[in-house]
Amino acid sequence: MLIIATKSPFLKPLPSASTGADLLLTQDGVIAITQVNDWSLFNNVYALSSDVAARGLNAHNNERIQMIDITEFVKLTANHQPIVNW
Amino acid sequence: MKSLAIINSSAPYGQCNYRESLDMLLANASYDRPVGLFFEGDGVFQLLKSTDAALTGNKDVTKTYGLLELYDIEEVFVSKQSLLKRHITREQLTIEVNIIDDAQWFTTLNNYNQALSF
Repeated sequence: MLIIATKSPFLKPLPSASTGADLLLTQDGVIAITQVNDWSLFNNVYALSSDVAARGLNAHNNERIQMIDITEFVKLTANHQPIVNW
Repeated sequence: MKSLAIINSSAPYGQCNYRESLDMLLANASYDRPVGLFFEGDGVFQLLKSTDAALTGNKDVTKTYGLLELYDIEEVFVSKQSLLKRHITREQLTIEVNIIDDAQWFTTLNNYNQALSF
């Protein structure tokens, strides 16, 4: 399963229970990287690098979060099912 | 002339609120209407100097905020609690602002005749 988070965590907090899923942060969802989160609730955590850079949040790089580009985004959507919008 | 407070509460570039508030701000300021600019919640992300909006196909608002002095807009207020919660410091902001706490927030807003939230 791939969970795609697109909203600010202050509007829509990330799942707080173990998901066993991969998480992709895009759009305002990338704001989550500025927060203290229990990333272990997810297998892999990805963030769309252009959305992170657009919002000026590059400095919040975290080793648990893999920065990916649009091409890798497409690959993720091709390799996961289901895909859940959060 | 009635004074106007513009309150920004949404993060930039995901939605258009930030752009609409800016248009409202500049339109009113160009008629010399007294305007105060407020940032709280995710709105404070609009003020980060490290943004690069072109990556989302948008224009960078931080550049426009740099022009506020030309429009005689000196009253810019930012919620202290909102900054703290988001781990943002004054040094990361693109313009000079007044950082006020929750107690001052509404007393400051009360100085304006009208308020619009974005």
